[in-house]
Amino acid sequence: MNMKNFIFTFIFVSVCISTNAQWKQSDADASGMHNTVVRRKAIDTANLRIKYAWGATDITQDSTYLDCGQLLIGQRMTKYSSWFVEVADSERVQWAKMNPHAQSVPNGTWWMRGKKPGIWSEYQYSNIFIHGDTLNEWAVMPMGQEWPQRYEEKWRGQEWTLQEDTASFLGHQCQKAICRWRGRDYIAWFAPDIPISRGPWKFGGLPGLIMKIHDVDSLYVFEAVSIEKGNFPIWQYPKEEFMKSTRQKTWKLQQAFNLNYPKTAGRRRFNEDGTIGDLISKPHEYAPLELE
Amino acid sequence: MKTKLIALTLILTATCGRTDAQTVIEGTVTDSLGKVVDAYVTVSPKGTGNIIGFADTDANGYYKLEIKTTADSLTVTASGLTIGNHVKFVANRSQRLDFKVKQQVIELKEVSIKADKIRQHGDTISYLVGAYQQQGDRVIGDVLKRMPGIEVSESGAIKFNGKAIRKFYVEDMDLLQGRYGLATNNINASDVATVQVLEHHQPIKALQDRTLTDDVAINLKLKDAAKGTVAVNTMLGGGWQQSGPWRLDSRPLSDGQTVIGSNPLWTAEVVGMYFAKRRQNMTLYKGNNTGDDVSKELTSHYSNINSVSLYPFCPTNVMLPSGAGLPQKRIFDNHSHIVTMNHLEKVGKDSEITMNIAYHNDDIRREGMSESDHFISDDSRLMTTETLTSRTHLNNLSGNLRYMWNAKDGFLANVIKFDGSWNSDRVEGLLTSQLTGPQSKNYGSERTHQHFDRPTLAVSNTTNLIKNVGKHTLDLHFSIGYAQRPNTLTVGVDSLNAEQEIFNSHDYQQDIESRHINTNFHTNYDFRFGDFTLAYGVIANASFHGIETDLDGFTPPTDESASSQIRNDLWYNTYELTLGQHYKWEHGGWRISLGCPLNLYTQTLDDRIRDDKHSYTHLLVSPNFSTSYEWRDWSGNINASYYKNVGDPGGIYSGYIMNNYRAFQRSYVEQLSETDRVGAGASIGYRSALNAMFFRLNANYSHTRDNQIYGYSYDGATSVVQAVDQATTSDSYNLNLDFSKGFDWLQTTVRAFGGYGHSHSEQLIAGNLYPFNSRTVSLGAGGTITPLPWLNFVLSSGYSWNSSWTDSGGSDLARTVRSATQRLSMNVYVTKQMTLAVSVEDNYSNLTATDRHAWFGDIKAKYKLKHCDLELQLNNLFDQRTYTRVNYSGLDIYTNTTQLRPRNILATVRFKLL
Repeated sequence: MNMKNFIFTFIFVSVCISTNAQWKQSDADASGMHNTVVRRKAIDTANLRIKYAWGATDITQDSTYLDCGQLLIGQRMTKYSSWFVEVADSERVQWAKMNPHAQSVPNGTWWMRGKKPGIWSEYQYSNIFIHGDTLNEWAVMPMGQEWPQRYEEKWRGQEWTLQEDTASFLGHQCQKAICRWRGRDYIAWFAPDIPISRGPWKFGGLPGLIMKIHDVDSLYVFEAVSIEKGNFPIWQYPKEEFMKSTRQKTWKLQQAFNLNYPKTAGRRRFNEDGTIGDLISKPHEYAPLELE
Repeated sequence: MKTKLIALTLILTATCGRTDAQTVIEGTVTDSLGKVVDAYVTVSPKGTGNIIGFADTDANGYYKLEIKTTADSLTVTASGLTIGNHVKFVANRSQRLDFKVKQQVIELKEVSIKADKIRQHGDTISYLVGAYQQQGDRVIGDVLKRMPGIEVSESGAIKFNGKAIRKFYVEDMDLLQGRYGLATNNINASDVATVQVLEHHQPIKALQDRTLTDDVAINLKLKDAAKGTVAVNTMLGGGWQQSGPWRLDSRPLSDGQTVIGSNPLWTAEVVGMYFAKRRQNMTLYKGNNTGDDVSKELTSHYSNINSVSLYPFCPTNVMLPSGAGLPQKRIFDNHSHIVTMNHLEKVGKDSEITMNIAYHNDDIRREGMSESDHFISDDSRLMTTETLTSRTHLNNLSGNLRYMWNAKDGFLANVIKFDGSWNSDRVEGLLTSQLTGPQSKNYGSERTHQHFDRPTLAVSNTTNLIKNVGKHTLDLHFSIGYAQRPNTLTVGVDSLNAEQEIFNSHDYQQDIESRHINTNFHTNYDFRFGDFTLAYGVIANASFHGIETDLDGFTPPTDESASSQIRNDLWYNTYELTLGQHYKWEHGGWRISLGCPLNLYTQTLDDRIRDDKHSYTHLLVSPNFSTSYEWRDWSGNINASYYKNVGDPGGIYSGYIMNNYRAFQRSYVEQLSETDRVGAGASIGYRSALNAMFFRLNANYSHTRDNQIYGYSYDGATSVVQAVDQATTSDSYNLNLDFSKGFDWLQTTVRAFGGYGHSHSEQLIAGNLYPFNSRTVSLGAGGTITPLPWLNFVLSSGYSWNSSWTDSGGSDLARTVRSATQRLSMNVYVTKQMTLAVSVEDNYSNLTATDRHAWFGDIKAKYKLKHCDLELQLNNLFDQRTYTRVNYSGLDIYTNTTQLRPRNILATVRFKLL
C-alpha cells in the first residue's frame, strides 16, 4: 500500500468512525413524570397509526430501535410521539388503577423497550401536535428537570424538491424528495397513494405519507414499520404541568441537557466533610437533529 | 447580419419557449355542496406516476400549480385523508380545473414490516397469527399449537400457561358458549389477525374494576376481509383400507378378532360462518367413518352461567372393550354425524341473544381383549381373560337459549338448557376365569351378552342479576333443573363346557328409574371499603333424588328377604342453607382472601321398600384461604381449604344393584358417609411476551378421611362390593411444571413439562386392609423448528414411570410400569402449493410381553389449487393391527389388547362454496 492509498484509507475510516460516533442521545436519565401520566386525557381519536423505527440497527427487531415512534392521524389533529413511552404510560395508568392509594406510580422505564430504555432523548419524550398550520411541542425533560415545557410555532412543512427516484416501503411505491431544514439536508421517501402529508417528528408537507426519512449522513433515520387501523386515543398530559415556553428556550434547554446532563440538572458533589460542593460537569458529545 | 440576428433570435425564442413553457393549473377543491375540504393537488406527466408538482388548497379551497414539462397530457390528482384520491387527465396547457369531490374515508391495508410475534399490553397478550402460521396450517387450532404459552390438549381444551381458559371469544363475542372446538377446528387460520389472551378477565362489565378474577380468556381478532361476509367451506373425501368388508351398513358383532373399520371410507363436511358486528353464526355438518371423532368439537369446555348440576343416580354400566391409550383415530370404528347451529344476535347496545343447538349421531364398534390378574389374598389370585366386541348407538340432542344484558351498571342473564339422549350399547363377550393358589379352581368359560338402554333427559333454567349500588354490588342467582334416566341393563351369561357348548344359562336384568330435581338460589352483597371487600351471601339449595331399581336373576349372598335385597325405591333429599362470608384485601399486586361459609345441611332418606325414614342435620364449616402476589411478569399463589361432605346417593341404597355383569354392589350402612378433606397448594408462574417465555410450577397436597370403605369379595369372576363402616384415609402429593419459550431463530418454539405424584390409600379385600401406594413421574419435551424455509419439524416426546405397591403384598408385586411416546412430524413445503407431511410415532411399554414398541407412520400430501385444496392421507403405514397396554395397580395387573384400524388411504377435496 503506497502512502497515497494509506492516507485515503485513513481519512475514509476516520470519517466513517466519526459519523457513527456522533451522538444522537445523551446520557441523561429518563424522567419519572410520576403523577402526570395518570391524569392524561384523550383529546381526539385516531383511526390510523403509523409506527416508525428510529435509529434501528435491525428494522425487524424493535429491541434494536432507539425508539419506536407513532404518528396518529386524528379527526382534528395529528400527533407524533413515542409508542414505547405510550405503552409504558398505559402500564403506569393501569398500575395506578390497581393501587389507588399509592402516593406515586413507578418510573415508566420499568416498562420501556428499545435499545436504551432508561435514557432520555427529546425525540422520544416530546409530543408533537399539528393542527392546521400550528405545531405544538410538549417536551418532557430528563430527570432532574421535572418541569416540562410546551410551545407553539407556525408549521407549513418543509420546502421540498421532488425527484424522480422511486422505491418501495411496506408495499407502497414511494417517490424521493429532498429538503434542507434547520441546518441539515434530508432525503425523504413518500407514498403518493397515502394522502397524508405528514411524517415522523416535525416532517411533512409532501403529497403523501413519508415512509422513510434520513439526513444525508444517515445520522437520524426514521422508517415506517407498520400501518395500523383502529381506534387510538390521542392523549394529552395535563396542561398545567407544562410550562409555557418558546421554541428557542426549549431547544436550548434540550441542548444543554444533552451536552452536559449533570451540570444542567444541577447535580452537585458532596465534599468529604459532608457539605455540598461544586456542580458536577460531565460534557457529552451531541449532534442534534435540529442544528438551529 | 440582420438576417442572421433575426434567425438567431427566432431560434432562441423557439428554444426558450419550448423549455421554459410554464403550465399553470389552478382551481378549487370542494365537496358536492361547495364546501371547502382539506386537500392537496398533485400533477404528473400522464402514464408516469411521477409527481412533478403539488400544492395545498388554502382556506377557500383554492390551489395553484406551476409546472414545466414537455409532456402532452397531465394527470392531476386531488387528494386528502377524507376524500381519497380524485384523478383528472388534462392536456398540458394552462387552465382552470375545479374538483367537486365526494367525502370518502381512504381504505388502507394494514401492513407491518415485522410486527412483534407477541405483544403485551396490560392484561392482554396478543399473538400475531401470521408469525406462527406455517404453510400446512389450515385452521386456527393448528396455529394455536405452535404458540408458546398456549397448550391444546387431545380433547381440544386450551390452557394458557397451565391455566384452563374460561372464555373463548370471536371478535369479543361468545358465540359458542364453551364449545370452542368448533372455532379452533373450523375458522381458517388465514382469516385471523391476532389471538389475544386476556388475563384477569372479568366478562361482566358491571364488575370490571370492582372484582378481580384469575380467569384467562382467548379472543380471536379477525382480519377485516373475514368480517361481515358469509363463508361456506365444504370438504368431501373417500378412501379404502387394507382389509375390511365392502359394506355400507354397520357390521354385525362378532366374537372374533375382526378388523376395525369398513370399506368404503368416506368423510364430508359443510361449514358456514358469518361474523359481523351485531350478528354471528356458525352452522355445520360433519360426518365420517374414518375414525375421526368429530363429536369432540361439541364438547363444552366451560359453562357460561352457574346452572345447577344434574346427575340422576345410575351406577350401572356395561363392560366395554378398554381403550389402548392411543390416539382415537387408530382405534375408532365409527359412523359419525354431527350437526350444529350457533347464532348470536345483538339486540341493543348492551344486549344479545344466543342460541346453540347440537345433534350427534354415532354408531361405534369396539373390539378388544383384556387379561386381568386380580389380587384375592396373599396367596391366591384370580386370572380372567375376556374378549369383547361392542356396538354403541348414540343420539344426543342439546340446545340452549340465552339472553344477556351486560352493561356498565348492571348484568342480567337467563339461560334455558335442554339435553336429551337415546343411547344404547350391545356387547358380546367370552370370559374365562381361574383361581390360583392353594384352593385353585378353574371356573371355565362363559359367553356373555349385554344390552344397555340408557336414555337421559335434562332441562334447566338459570337467571342471574347483578346490580351496582354505589360502591357496592348486589348479586342474585336462581337456577332450577330436572333430569331423568329410565335405564335397563340386560345380561345373559352362558356357561360353556370344554367343548364350548352351553350347559347352563343365566339372565340378569337391572331396571333403574332415576330422577333428580335440583334448585339453587343465592344472593350476595359486596361491601367495599378502600382495599377491603366484605362479601356476605345466603345460599339455599334443595336437591331431590328419586331412585327405583329392580334386579332380576341375582341371588343375594345373605339370608335376608331376597326381594328386599334386589329392589330399591327411595327418595334421598338434601337441603342446604349457607351463610356465605368472604373477606378480601387487595393492594398493589397483593390479594388475600379468606372465606368461611357456614352450611346448615339436612338430608332425608325415605326408603319405601324397607319402610325406613331417616333425617340428619349437620352444621358444616368450610374455611378457605388464598393469597397471591403479582410483580411484573411474575405471579405466586398459596391456598388452603377444608371441607366436609356428608352422605351421597351412592351410599344410601340397601338393595343390590348390578354395576355390570361382574359386579354387584350395595352401599347402605347405618352411619352416613362422611368425608373430610384438607387441601393446600402453591404455585409460581412467569410469563413474558417480550421474551416469549412462559413457566408455571404447581404443588398440591390433600388429605382425605372417609368413615366408610368399600370392601371387595369374589365369587368366581364376579365381585361383590359392600360399603363397610370402617374409617380410611388417603394422602396425595403432586408437583407439576410447564415451560415454553418461543425464539425468532428458525421460528422455534420449545416446550417442556414434568410431573411427580405420590398417593397413599387403603383397599379392603376379603376383609383384609391393604395399604396401597402409587408413585408417578412424568417428563416430556417437544417443540417446533423450521431449519430451512421449506422444512419444518414438530417433535413431542413423553416418558412416564409408574410404581404401585402394597406394604404387605410382597416384593414380587412391586413393579414399575415405564411407558413412553415419541412423535416426530416433518413438513416439507415442496412448492408454495404443495406440502408433504410425514410423521412417525413410537409407543413403548415395558410390561408388554412382546412388541414393546408399537410404531406408527402416516403421510399426508396437500396441494393447493386456485379454487380448492386437495389432500391425500396414507395412515398406519406399518399396518399395525393390534396394540397391547399393561396397567398395574399395585395389586392387580390389567392387560388390554385393542384392534387397530389397518393401513388406509383417504383422499379429500376442500373448496369454498361462498
